[in-house]
Amino acid sequence: MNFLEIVYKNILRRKARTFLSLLGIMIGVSAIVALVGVSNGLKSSALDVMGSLTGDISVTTSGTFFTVEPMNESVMDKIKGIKGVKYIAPVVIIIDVEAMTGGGQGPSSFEVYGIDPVAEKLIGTSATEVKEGRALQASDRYKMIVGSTYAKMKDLKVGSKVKFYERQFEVVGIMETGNFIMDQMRAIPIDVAREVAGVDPDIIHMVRVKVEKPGTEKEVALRINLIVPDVEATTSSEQTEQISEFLDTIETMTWAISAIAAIVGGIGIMNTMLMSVIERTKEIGVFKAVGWSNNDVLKMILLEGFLLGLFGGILGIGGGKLTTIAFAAFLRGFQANITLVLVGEAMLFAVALGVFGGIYPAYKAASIDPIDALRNE
Amino acid sequence: MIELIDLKKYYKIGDIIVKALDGVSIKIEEGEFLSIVGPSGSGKTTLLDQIGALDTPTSGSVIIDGIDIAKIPKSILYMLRREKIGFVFQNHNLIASLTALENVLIPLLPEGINPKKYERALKLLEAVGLKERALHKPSELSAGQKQRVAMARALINNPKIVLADEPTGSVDTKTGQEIMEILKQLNTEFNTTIIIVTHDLEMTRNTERIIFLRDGKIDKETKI
Repeated sequence: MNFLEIVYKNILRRKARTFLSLLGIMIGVSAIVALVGVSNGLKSSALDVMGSLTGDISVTTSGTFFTVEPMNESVMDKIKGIKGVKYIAPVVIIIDVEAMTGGGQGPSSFEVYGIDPVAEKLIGTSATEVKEGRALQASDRYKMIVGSTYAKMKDLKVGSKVKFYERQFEVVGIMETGNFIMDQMRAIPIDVAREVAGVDPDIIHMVRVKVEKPGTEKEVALRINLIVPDVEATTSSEQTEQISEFLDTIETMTWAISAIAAIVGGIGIMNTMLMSVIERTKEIGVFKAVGWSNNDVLKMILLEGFLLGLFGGILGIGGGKLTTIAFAAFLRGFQANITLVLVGEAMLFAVALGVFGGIYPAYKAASIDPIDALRNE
Repeated sequence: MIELIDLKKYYKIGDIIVKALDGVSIKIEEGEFLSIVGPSGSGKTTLLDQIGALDTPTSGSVIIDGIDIAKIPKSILYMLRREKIGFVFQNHNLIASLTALENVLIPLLPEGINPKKYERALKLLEAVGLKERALHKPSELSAGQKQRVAMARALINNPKIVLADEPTGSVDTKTGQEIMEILKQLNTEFNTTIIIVTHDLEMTRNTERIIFLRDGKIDKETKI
């Protein structure tokens, strides 16, 4: 028999109460692990995506960062003439309404890109990273290339037929980039995209720009913004930064909200332990009468808090992991990123809560006067 | 040897001062079997608390083996309790979640428990006739058995002094006699000083000396 054993038996005495206080810590820690894990996963995927999606610089209608606002194709000539621009590629974006309203069963990417195969090849985007079949060609009409995750979800192979906006498309290539957002992408020829979307043949939504010299992206984007009216040129690193900042804010908020939940759990532990100390007043009096010091009693109660925190933390990390698995099932291909550091932080947090919750009850227990305690009925 | 010199313990309850002990002087020889008898409120439990180093006096001295308890800070009195004193309480006060054996070992826990100490605990349970019940929890033991476990617990530290506060108070007369027999046996075999507090004169038959307390003072003393 040792201290740990007696402490373990103590917390098992009132199983329901112990379970409920563990639940408090568990929910808080689960929330931290799941939300931060998901946010980590999203961050790495989203940051990956930026470069391959937008080229060096993306040009959209001003004030419409990542929304679908039409521009006239004539804008391309103006961009092309700007010093430092090497290649440009137009994009038409169609929202797949059916996928959007398809609930949890649909893909998480609702946009279908209309691309110019020739320009795409020059600019070298992910639409050219074809694992099976081939990339789109200039002569293609109702052909489609799809990301590998999307292909898996819809059971598509090279040669499969897909219905999109009442038209039959043939899958000619399957892209694989290893990024869950990119691998749910679909692309069709730009002319067909315009036809499907029912827009004028000179409409585009975005222009992707490749610069002549790497490192001049910022400079070129500035020139585009100055020279071409009503457009906004953003470099991919700027976008990465913006997204990264946004995701950092989300992560901080996630921590804060989950921490509040966990602190409530910690207060629950304090309450449970305080109750248990009051119930055991006489017992603690006996411990002292038979030769335990105040520190021995303090140690015992703090150890109880530590164990509650530890168990709550273990359960919470398990719960968080399960939540991200459930989340990944909903968002196919998504990988939450529960790092060892996150697990360590969550565990430390849980244990700190348990010990912190135990401080006041332990102090109360240590200051019990054995004479009063022994007369306590 | 225990020596109480003009021991006073006063409590203040509101504006009233309660003189729980009011000038008690007693000498208790090593190996003596002593009983303290008195009506409730006479100060007998307060006296036991003082001898047991659970509390410090208002004035006077409690000298145990040459150490004056009154001069030791309350926060370190536990050392004295751990090394020299064993307590038997009226209601056994066993820990419900622990087995008889574990209850006996409780006083040793802060120092750590090794196989030798386990062996000693088992021997003590054997001595009080409960070896077979060592792994039973208090809820599975009779009142007399629980009190016997409490006695084994009081002895685990090999104390020089055993203090028993109404040890037969919660058991029937026959079991009470058995408990007194065990205490007597301890006293004779190990020369342990035993002081019991009781209001049942019947139980004092085994003791060598009876001290009668009334209103915090010694009323009379009888040697048997």
